[in-house]
Amino acid sequence: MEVSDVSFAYRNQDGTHMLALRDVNLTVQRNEFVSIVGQSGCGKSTLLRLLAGLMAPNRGRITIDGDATTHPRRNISLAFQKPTLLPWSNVLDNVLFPFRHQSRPVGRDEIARARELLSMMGLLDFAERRPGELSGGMQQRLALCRTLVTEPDILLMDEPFSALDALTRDELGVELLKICAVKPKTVVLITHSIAEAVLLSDRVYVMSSRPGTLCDEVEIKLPRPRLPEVMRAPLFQEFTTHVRDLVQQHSVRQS
Amino acid sequence: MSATWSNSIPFDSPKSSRWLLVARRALVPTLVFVALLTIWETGVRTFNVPSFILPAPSVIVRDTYGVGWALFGHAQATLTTVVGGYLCAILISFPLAVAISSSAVLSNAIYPLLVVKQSIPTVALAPILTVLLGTGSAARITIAALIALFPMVVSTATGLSSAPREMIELSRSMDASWVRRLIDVRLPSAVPYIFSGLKVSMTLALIGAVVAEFVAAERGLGFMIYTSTAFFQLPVAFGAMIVLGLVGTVLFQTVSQIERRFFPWAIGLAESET
Ligand SMILES: Nc1ncnc2c1ncn2[C@@H]1O[C@H](COP(=O)(O)OP(=O)(O)OP(=O)(O)O)[C@@H](O)[C@H]1O
Ligand SMILES: [Mg+2]
Repeated sequence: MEVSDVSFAYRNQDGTHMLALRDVNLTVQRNEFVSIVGQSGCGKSTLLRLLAGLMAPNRGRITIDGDATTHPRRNISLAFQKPTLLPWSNVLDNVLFPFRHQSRPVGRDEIARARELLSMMGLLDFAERRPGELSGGMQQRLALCRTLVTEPDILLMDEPFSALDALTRDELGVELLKICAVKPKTVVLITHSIAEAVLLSDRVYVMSSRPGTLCDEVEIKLPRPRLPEVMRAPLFQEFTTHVRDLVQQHSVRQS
Repeated sequence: MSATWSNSIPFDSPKSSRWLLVARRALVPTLVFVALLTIWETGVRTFNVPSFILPAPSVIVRDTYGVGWALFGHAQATLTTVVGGYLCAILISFPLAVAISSSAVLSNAIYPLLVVKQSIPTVALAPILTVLLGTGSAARITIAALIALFPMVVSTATGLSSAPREMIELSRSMDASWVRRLIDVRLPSAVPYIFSGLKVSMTLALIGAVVAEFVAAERGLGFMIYTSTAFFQLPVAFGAMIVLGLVGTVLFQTVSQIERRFFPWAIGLAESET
């Protein structure tokens, strides 16, 4: 996955333009796990939308496996910042939604996979409930099940753990790594938690504010498989401190 | 685990007191209603108001009862017109709403026509349509359908474009087809809007049917009101009016109950997402 010199401006309601991204460069190897951290509003979600092919960059090029992304693809799964669930379907049907929505058959295998993901996220008891009856964090876990169920080659995730408590967050992060170990995936994760980024990623990108650009890159040379215990290692602390300093350095002070 | 646990908590069933509550709530309106009827009855009797100006409730009941089974025939004729026109309006409004919500060009083509149509009073339209379509049930159903169409199209079109932006993006990110997006995302999001249109339209269809029966009919509650006032049989006209009110209430409640029963998740959805 390659992003070269990409700029993107939103058109506001009054016709003016708001430059959200400027000259973004990013290369993600196949099956690499990359995180992006940065201040709120710096353009992380925008970059993810571009990667998903939901919008086209105003300048620059995004290629995936050598092809320019001009439209969404089925081997990419996108997890939004909001859970974005269907309030009229129950939990299990929400997980199976990608299959139905793409007019793909839902057989025994698909249902089994959906149930397995639900049980991994601790939601199996709620399979027949509606999303409105779940807590915010449960909704987010449900959205994660839906993102993973199609076994995509590329996962784009926008703060998928933001509504979870610290313990569950680390646990699910490690679960995610396990899934990636079984069937390798390219992952781009956006997160506000520096610890999470360091724990999960091969590389962490730091994004600066308005207009957003990727200004620093830290390679996380921690051994795999990573378990939550890694977080106690001095090397881990070193990496998080380093990333935190970089984020701080590139943030605009907001008074 | 926690789900099964909560099931075992013994909740107090409010069922036993429910009927009492309903009875208590119905008590005051019933008393008011009975009181009004009594005042009406005694007023008409003491001042000797002639029944072709204002009939007493007892006279209304007696004379309407005197109409006999024919009353059901009239009610059934009106019901056929209303339901027929309503169903036609649903069938026509849906493709129009889909067209409006999916293309600006089609929206610009269809909306002005609808607004012009809606601006013409049905009373004015009815005689003209009767000349065009004859005095049969086709004309009456068309009139009922035409008047019911507008709110249905507008609310369905609004509903179809009301799906939250993230939901549409989710659908697009899955590379789903246009039809699947319509069926899986846009249509369910539109359900609360569709039902508010359906409710308004139901009352309008009833108005359309009665207007049509004024103009061209030999049966129906509207026809009954029209002819009995012409022959100074005001009590019968009153009776027909009351039956009309009952038919309207039942039809409206039917739509409302369908929504409650089959789309419980839709109630309150429209407000919570904006
Ligand atoms: N639909 C939109 N129309 C116009 N401007 C937008 C739109 N979405 C985002 N923006 C602007 O683009 C900038 C970047 O937004 P983006 O959502 O990418 O930020 P973010 O880094 O994901 O922030 P957060 O961490 O808070 O989610 C913001 O300044 C925002 O005002
Ligand atoms: Mg964001």
